Amino acid sequence: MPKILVVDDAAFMRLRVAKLLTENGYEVLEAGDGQEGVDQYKKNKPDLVLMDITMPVMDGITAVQEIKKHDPNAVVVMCSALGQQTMVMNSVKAGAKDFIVKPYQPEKILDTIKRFIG
Amino acid sequence: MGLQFDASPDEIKLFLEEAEEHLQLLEEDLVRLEKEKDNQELLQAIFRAAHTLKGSSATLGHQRMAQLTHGMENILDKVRKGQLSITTPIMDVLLEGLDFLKVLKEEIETLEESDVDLEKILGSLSKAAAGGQTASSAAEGKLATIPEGSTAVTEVAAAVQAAEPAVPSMALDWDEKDHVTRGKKQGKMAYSILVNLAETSEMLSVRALLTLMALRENGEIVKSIPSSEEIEREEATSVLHVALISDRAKDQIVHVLKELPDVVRVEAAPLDITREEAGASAPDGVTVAKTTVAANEQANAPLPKDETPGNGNGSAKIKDTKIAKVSRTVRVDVELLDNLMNLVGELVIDRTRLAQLLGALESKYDSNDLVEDLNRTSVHIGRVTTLLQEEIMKARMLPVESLFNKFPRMMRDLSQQAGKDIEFIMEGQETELDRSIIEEIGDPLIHLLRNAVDHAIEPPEERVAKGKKPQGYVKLSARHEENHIIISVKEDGRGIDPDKIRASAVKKGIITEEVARRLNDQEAINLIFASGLSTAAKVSEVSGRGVGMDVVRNNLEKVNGSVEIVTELGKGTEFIIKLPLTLAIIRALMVSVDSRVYAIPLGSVLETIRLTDGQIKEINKREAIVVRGRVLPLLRVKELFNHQTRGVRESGKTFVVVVNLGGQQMGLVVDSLIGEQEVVIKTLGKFIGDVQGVAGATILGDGSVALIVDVPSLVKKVVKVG
Ligand SMILES: [Mg+2]
Repeated sequence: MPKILVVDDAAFMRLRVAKLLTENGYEVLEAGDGQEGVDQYKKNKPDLVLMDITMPVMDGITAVQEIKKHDPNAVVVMCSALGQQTMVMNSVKAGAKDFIVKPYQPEKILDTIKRFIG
Repeated sequence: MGLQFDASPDEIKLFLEEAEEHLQLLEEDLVRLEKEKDNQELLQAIFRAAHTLKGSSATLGHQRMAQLTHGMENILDKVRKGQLSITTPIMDVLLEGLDFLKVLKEEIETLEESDVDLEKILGSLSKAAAGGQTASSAAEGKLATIPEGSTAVTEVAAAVQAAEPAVPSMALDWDEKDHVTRGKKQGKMAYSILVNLAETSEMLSVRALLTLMALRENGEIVKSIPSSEEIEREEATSVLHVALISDRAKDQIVHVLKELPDVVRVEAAPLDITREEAGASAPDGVTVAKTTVAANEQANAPLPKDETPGNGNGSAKIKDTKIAKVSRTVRVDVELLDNLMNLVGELVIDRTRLAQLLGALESKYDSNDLVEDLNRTSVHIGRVTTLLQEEIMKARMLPVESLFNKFPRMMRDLSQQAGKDIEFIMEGQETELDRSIIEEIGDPLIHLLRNAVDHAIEPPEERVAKGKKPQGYVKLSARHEENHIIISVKEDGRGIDPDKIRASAVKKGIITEEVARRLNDQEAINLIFASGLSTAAKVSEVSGRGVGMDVVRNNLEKVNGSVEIVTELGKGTEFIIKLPLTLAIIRALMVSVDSRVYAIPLGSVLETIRLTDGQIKEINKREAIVVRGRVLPLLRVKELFNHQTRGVRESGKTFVVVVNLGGQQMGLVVDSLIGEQEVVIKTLGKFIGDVQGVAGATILGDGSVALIVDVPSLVKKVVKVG
């Protein structure tokens, strides 16, 4: 079962995404901020990371950099709000593979994940 | 009108919990921000709260909430970037937005759509946001509404759409042509590729960059329009024109591109550099498009490049990790904690019972090994039970901050309304208190704070006339003191005049003139807690104290708390509230009367006195004793609970337990003192109903039931008669 790490400081958002993903046959790991996300990544080596941007402790862009340092092949997909283009751009430059804009459409999340890990 | 959200009950519950946290943070921190304008960390936290609320509410499908939070976030973002500064009007509109947010949150709880009109606040928000940048007000208006799903059409994309070039042609300079020639020599193909991205694509520039990156995985990019630098500067269009050399077949590349998100059309043709000779300029269409976009982007908001937090910024990163403490918390239903507390209560009772049984065993089988063993185990169980009890109590504790949070905002508004200049100070927010107590003391504190603003603190002119500073203060503080929490509301206002209280109490018919004369000043001041006195508006004006002080005391007593007043006329008043740490378990003085055991909450016990013969006097038709020159009215527990008296006890063996409530003291006459003990409070419930003078019951170690004496109601009874 492919493992997906959901990093978001809003537990509500994590719950929503986690539910969708488990219903579609993915194993879900969760982290509540960027630092926790990096730690989880190192520990559990997920197949894909869904990464929020605005988070306390460590933001999503820094987290992508850290994860990429640890594993250059990491697949990180940014989850952002509409007005955050500059940040998403920087995340992509830091190695994020794609992005999804909140509010998510379920099909879009699933499509995006499928493109990377089938 | 009924509302429906596309979310399960769990999800809605979690949403509400988080929303509440964010609203509370906003409530407290926005007001703080007004004072600490340069506190970047504070500002970031506020921004995050608004931002997260926006994301979550949009995901929940609460569009109006998403719009409102977006409007607020927009302002905060500009403040963050230094494009706006925190002024009173900006703060007002943010706080107003917060009020609306609360209503919208309630909609989710009730599933009833409220009739709030968001038009006005959304207007004020975008107007406030435009304040920093009048030039872009049109663009702001556009941003203030969240486009729904895929129907979002960005202005940029639309503007560019018209300028789409029809044919993929590419002008190359000498260097680029050389690049193509070298590639061809290696047996590679050169293509001119035109990619159309969906005009509805969100974050077109990022999408363009990702598309470019996908192309790079399939060959070498000789040139692209827009260039990757332009794309990274967010100047992309929905048309991407690329000259690529690759060893892959055209169809293969087209196929890869068509699989990419937001790619709606791909056209590729072999690139013939000989035909491109003349034109060093790009096709007109593309150039025009670029210009249009650049203009639009500038109008929107030229962002400083380095605004991104933590991106390649070494020092910022170090700062971040310094506070990077991963919190490991779970959410637990309060009910679960209550159940745990009850179960531990049972354990506490069994522990006492076990100790008693052991005592019996020990006296029967002296130094038996098994008994010794049992003893050790029992001691251990006792210790573990105590620890367990402490841990669960800790889990029930919340910092009073969760309650105090809302006060700065309230005080700000109240002061403004009353036209008073008041500095509101809070201290000890980290002090922890049982959550059920926190729930109960909210109203009393609001009463006290409101009264402080409305009645106690004088208007600036009056203060100046009195030789005081024009600005008054109200200080709300919490601290731990032994087994209690002390919450104090202190101000430097008018102070309470005991004579005025006496006069109005007589006028209201609460006491007779004679009684009024007999009351000392403290007793007179305590009359403001009497029902009937403080509810009269007239009195509140005269006394400088307001509405519902009886409610204050009653609410506090409900949680075994008490309140005392320290006041000095002309200088100010302090209300000192004393609260137990928890409700479920209290320390009590165990006493016996006719071999029945009673528990008197230790919080209200001042001292115990052994009575000597003839010490009891009759004063004002009531039994009393004189202690250190003061008359102490007595109440015989025996009579209170209608014991069938079997013979008269020798008075030499009688004790008086002196109890205190808000400065009023009285003595409870009991037969003997057993000692202090922790008792688990059980409510009497429907079996017995409301018994006068009884606060509850507890089960003793031997399984028998002891009543817990309700000191407040007894004191009131005696004082009223007096
Ligand atoms: Mg977030």
